[in-house]
Amino acid sequence: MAGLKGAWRVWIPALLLAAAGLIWLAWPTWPKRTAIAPSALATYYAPRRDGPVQPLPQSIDLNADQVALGRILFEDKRLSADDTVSCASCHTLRKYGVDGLAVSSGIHGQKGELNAPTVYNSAFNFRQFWDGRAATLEQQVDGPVGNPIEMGSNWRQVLAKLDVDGDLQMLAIKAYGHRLDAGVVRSAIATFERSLITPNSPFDRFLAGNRKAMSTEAVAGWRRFRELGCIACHQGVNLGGNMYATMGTMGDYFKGRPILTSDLGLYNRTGQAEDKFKFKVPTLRNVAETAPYFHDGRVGKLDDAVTDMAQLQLGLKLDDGDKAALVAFLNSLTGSLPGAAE
Amino acid sequence: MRNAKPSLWIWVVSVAGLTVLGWLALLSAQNDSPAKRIEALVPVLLNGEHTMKVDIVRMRYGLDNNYDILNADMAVVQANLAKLDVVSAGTELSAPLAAYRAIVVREANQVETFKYQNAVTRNSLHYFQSDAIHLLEDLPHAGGGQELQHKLTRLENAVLLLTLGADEYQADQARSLIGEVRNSSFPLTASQRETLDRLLRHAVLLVREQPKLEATTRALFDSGSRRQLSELDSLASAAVARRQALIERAQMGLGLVSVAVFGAMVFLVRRHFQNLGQIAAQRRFLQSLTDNVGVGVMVADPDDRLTFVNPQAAGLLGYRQEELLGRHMHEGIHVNVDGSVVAQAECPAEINLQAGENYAGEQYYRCKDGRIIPVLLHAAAIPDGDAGRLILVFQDMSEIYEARRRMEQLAYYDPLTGLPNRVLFQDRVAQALARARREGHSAAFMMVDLDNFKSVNDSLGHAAGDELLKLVASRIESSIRESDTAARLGGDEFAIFIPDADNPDDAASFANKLLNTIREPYRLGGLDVVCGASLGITLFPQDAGDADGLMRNADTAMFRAKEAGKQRFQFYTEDMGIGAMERLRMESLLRNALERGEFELLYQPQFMPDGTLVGAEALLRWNSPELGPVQPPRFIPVAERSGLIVEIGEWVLYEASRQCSQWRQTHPAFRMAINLSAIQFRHAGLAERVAYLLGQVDLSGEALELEITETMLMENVTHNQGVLSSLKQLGCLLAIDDFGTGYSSLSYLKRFQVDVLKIDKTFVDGLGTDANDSAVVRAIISLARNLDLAIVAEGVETEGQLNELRRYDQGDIMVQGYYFSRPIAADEFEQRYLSEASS
Repeated sequence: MAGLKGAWRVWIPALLLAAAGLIWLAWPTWPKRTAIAPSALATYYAPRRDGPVQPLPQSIDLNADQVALGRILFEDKRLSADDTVSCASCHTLRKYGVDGLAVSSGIHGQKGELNAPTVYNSAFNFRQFWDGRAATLEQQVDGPVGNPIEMGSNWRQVLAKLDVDGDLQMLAIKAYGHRLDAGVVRSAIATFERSLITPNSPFDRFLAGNRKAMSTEAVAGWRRFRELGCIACHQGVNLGGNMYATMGTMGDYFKGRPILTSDLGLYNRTGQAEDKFKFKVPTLRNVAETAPYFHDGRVGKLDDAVTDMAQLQLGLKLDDGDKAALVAFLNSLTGSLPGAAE
Repeated sequence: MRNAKPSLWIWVVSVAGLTVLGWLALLSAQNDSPAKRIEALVPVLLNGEHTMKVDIVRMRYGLDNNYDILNADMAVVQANLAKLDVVSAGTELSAPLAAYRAIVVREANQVETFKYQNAVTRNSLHYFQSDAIHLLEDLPHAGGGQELQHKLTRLENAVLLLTLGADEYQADQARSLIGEVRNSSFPLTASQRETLDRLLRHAVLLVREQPKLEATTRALFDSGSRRQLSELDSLASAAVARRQALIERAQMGLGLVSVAVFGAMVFLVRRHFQNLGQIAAQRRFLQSLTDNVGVGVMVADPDDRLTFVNPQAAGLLGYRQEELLGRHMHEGIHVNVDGSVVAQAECPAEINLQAGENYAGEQYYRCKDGRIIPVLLHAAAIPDGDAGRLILVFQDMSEIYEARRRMEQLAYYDPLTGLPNRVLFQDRVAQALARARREGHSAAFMMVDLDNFKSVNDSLGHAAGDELLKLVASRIESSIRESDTAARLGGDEFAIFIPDADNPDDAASFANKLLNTIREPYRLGGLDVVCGASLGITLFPQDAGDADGLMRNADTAMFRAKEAGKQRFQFYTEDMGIGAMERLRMESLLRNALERGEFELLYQPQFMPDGTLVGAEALLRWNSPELGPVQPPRFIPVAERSGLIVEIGEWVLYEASRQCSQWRQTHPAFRMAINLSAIQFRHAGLAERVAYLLGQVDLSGEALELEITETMLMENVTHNQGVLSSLKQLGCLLAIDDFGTGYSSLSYLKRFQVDVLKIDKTFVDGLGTDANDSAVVRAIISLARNLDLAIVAEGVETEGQLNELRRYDQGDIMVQGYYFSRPIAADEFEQRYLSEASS
């Protein structure tokens, strides 16, 4: 026994070395916090060069736990100061992500200045908000929560309310490895929103090769859509949502009424004179279901909106045939709602 | 092991070495520096920028019309740029990187602007061209129509030029042409008017936006991104090269330090194994030391558990080594002599060690089989020992004690009987006497001597004799009490000491009982043998005050008892003491008496009743210058005891035979009667001796009449038969002396061919006066006649006695006594009875 005792000079360093080796071996396998990657569009969508438009993918590869948590938070009114407004209040899922109002109601019944855009396919927008001030859906979440007219809250308040919800915390731990914080809430809601895709519209099926998916009139509308130059701005996978354009390039949309701050669009961010009245070109996906139209929801009917757009952006007076064809085409852009809408 | 003591400097050096190693390793592993990353990403960024700019051109010329592609291009550039966030501010790379970041931000804005301008200019150009073609075809080719056609064509050319590379001059040209067309007075149809208005609106837009698009595109291509990136690249490369040099140096250092560390490790490991080897050798040495040390060695830990046991210790205690390891010393091993457990707190070794002293002394250990052995224990504390606390070295003392006990036994005990020997006895008596003196007790001292041990020894052999002694000893031992002491002093002599004999009667009755016990028959070699004993008693303090005196007294008394007829006891009396003294003196005088010629033979004549001389009885006289004339009854026992009797007897036999031979020259029938002592008679070779003497003095056997006592005759029948028949063959006559005082077997008288019976003087004394004596004499005479024996009547002193004898005589009675003559010297005898005159 004395020999072994006397050898501590040898085996203590040996033990330390062995322990270090084990730690080194085990390190990569240790559980990590699930990374909350800022999900840039580029990470889940690669554009093709085979045309101005391409069909929606059937789905995006997402973490199911995070989607589940996001769905709950999406409908959680505790995100608002007085527990009256949730994301879903304005972005009603079974109504194609809109509330059908020109402008939505926030807490205490306050009216905003902008029309709520649909959350469907928002994952494919190059930026969020009418003025594109959010680069990602995650950044977008902060907007309505902190907006005094919309939810009127802040993260401290929201998280304090969610903190006592054990079930929710368990879901958060399951999805992210730790309790809820602002990052988790943002990520979960954004991830849920990325799952809100409406594929398999007649147009997408037509593009995929099914020539009978669209009516003849709609096919004619699709041809006129390109010939008339609508395609110059409404292109890409979302038929829009990938550039800014001035509202009223060839005409004055605001003629005869006062200009609101929100009407200035991109100008509010850049201060550049040429950015006045510039807005993100909205998607035309499900456009038939997301009335009313334009940033202020001023136009309620689709054919009126088409007429206005031709007039304002192309300096064109549409004849009835073109208008009907275009509307038929736009109607073929309505896809199927995912399970989350039910 | 002393050199292996870990000192602080080893740790300091180790930690420092490891720190240096770690630092060098860290340095040499840092090939993922920001500079390196920049160096790697610059080509990627250049490629991204290039792709984006190619796509700008493609969009500009309508080769692609999906802005998702541009967005993706820009996203690639931005994502790769984000990877350079690792570059910390303030470094030489941060400023050029920031400049490039600003360029990318500008580019992103320019791309956004491009998308819109490109979209609207493409649409406007389309509408402008188609409206212009429509109007030119529709307008009349003459007059005002032709003029308008002309203006429209010029406007169309200006716009086309604008799209090919617009500058402000051409824009101004186009603007003035637009004014001219607008202001044309040519009457148009409503439809034509509408077409023209639209054409002009698109022309205005084109003139406004086309130069902007041109500028945006140009700005994008002249963004400086390529220059900025190559500057970044060269800076990064330089930094990487510097770092690479550092890494190379660090790697070299790492190699050197590794070699040094490896060398140090080899050295340390070697030294460690050398130490191990030394330890192992030391351990083997200690192992063989403890294995062969020959004493038990054990080590106990502070909990009193054994942590080390050498083979001897295990062997002595009867365990296997591994059985003892872990056992508690004071739970079953260390015990008191009675087997009770010694508590650890009471263990003398523990107590000593607590006091800081070693321990050496006798303790008791219990063996596995339950034996309790005395051990000589040395205990010492192990200073600073981690294996134990207490080393116990012990030796089994039981064999040594046993040997000591045996030696004591040999020194103090009689090996044959197991009784104390003379030395121990004297010691015990001395002690007992001292105690008795202190306490005022009386004590009795007894001396026992077997009466006829000699004959047992001679007839049955020494083995039987020894057996007899053992049996007698055991009878004596079982007769005495615990407080008494019995001992064998030598030969067939035993002594008994009774320390509290206040009443002499008790001593007497004890002696009586003991004698009867000894007299019980013994079974020896299939025979029942009877052996009596004589016993002398002396009392303390009346008779003597010390052991020597008591022993002497008892001896004397015992001899008195023997003399008094054996098989009896005798108390010592004071006059015996004097006799004893005398005897001792006499014995020393006797030793020289023969040499000094102090012995003399007197002769007493024997006659037939008619007065005819038959012969003479030779009677020994001792004329001691110191004691005067001494009678045989006084000195013969002394001579017998001292063994001088053999020499004396020899001398008597020779002298008497010589005298007889001389006298027979004149008186051929002369007979000489010679007394044989018991010892002389028992002595082997008596017959040969007599035959030799007879030859020497030229005498025939029938001249000698050898006298023995009844007791001598009966003592050893077998032996006697041989001796007597040899003597008879020489022709010697055989006489029984003092007949009637002992006891005789008539058949023996016959068998031994006895010739003569001598009637004892005590019977002759009463002859004629005492009827009893006369009857005895008559009976003896009658007996002798029946056995055909001759008769000699001794001690005839009176005429009356002689007359009485004569009455019985039938010619076969011879007489001897003072009536005729007292014993007289040879000269006188010759003169009186053998001269011419007397015959």
